[in-house]
Amino acid sequence: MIRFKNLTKSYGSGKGIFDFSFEVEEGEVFGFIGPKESGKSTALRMLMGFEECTKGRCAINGKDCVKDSLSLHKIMGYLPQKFTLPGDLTGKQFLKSMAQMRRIKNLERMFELAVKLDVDLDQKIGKMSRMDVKKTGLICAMMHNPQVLLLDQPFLYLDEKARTVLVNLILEEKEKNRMVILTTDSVTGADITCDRVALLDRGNVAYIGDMETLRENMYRDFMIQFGSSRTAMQFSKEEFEIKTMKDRSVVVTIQGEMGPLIRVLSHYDVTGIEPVPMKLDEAFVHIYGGRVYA
Amino acid sequence: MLNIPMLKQDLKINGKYLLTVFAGQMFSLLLAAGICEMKLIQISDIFWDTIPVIIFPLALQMILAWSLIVRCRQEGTMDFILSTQISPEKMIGAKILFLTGGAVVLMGISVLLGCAAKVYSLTGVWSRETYLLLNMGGFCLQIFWGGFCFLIAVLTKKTSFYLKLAVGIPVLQYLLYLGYFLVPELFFLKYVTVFTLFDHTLFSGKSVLLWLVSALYLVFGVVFFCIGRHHFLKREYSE
Repeated sequence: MIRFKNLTKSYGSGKGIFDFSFEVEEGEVFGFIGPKESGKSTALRMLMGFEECTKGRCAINGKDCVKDSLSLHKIMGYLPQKFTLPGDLTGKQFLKSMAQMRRIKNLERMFELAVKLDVDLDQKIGKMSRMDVKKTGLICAMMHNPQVLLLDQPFLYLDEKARTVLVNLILEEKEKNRMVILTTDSVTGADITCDRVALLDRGNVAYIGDMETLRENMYRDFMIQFGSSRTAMQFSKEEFEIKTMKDRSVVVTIQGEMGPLIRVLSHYDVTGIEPVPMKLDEAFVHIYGGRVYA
Repeated sequence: MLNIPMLKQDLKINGKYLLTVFAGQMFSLLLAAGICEMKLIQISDIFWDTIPVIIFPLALQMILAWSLIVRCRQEGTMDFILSTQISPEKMIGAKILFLTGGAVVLMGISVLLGCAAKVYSLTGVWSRETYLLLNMGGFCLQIFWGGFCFLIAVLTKKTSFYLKLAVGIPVLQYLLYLGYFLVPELFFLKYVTVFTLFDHTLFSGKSVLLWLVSALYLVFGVVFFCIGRHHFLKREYSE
């Protein structure tokens, strides 16, 4: 079990993380969601024991993350947010040297992950695409079958196919009763993998709860195309929050289930409907009525 | 401190730099030996005595400190290494070993080659003994600059900052030294450059001062390494 107890790391001028107190159970996939500089990466680095806490503590299986970091690293896998890796080495050379540092002799998992993620490890890292470098980093974090997996922005730079593979890998880890903590800056990234999430705002936990509840409370925008502008005008009189309206198009904001909207739309001549991506800041405004900690 | 997989990784990553500097060092020594044999031109001490003892080892340390610390952090390799069971103490120890080891081996080979090629019979004031003393002083000087470069590398994650301080300051110091050496009217420059302490007359004349100067370089170098190591171990190496 991972436990945060009043964990605070302050860098001054309001930066850092403040008073984190919650637990992550075995077999759980937990997500930190928040905009840039909200403290997501700091929280993971604290778990890795890379930095001393200002106040409080965090522990994994009862062991302090700073004091016992070396013994904990044996059961942990970590993917940093930003990395490019040494360009002069091939993916295989880099991963082999990392395996040697971890004293891993069986490289079966490394090759298995490379096949799943579809990455050519014989290529020099300097010539790899950003996505392949990311995949190499993911293999490095997962090749020793860690009990605790910390992934900082794992979906960044991955295409749809690779994202699907990664989602499956994360769910496999969950099935093996392992703990996974990931960070993301979009709610949709955590949607399919996380059991619970914490929304971070300027280093503070603004919301913590299961994904289902968050989904129910989430506001989403949809653009609806009607057959005529007159129909669109008629629809605007319904009890929905209309965000914008232009000719035959109406952008409507709904909370939770789409059922009521679909039922009402069945009475209208609708030619198209598509979701409008909502920025995280907007989602925060909807859920909490603006920033929690100004 | 001796982590073989990490040293091997560093060797693979920095192999091309090591090869380039070693080749340059050997070429300069062979060239000096060739000119010495031909006795065609009078070459200043400042040139041949400082290229293998100061220029190449210093360049190597500047490059290695940047590559081993600054670039390793920029690339994120350091985060990956620190997530293994290698302790930060062991990691930074291995980096220091690689950095100083590179310069020691470079100078060691050049000493052997220099002795064999009788490079320092060029000016007539150098004997094998004084040549060895010169290299001993040079080694201490390299520890000084190695420690300095290491300290700056630990303090920053930005190459531009590293270039300004860890490369800019030694180069400026050396230029001041050259200015003082080549233009007698600029004698006052000797008070603002540490290279003044590395005066060749100390070594060629076997002055007692050379031991004091060498010890001073060595102590300052070790202090720089210790401060850098301490800063690194403050557990704020990821940001």
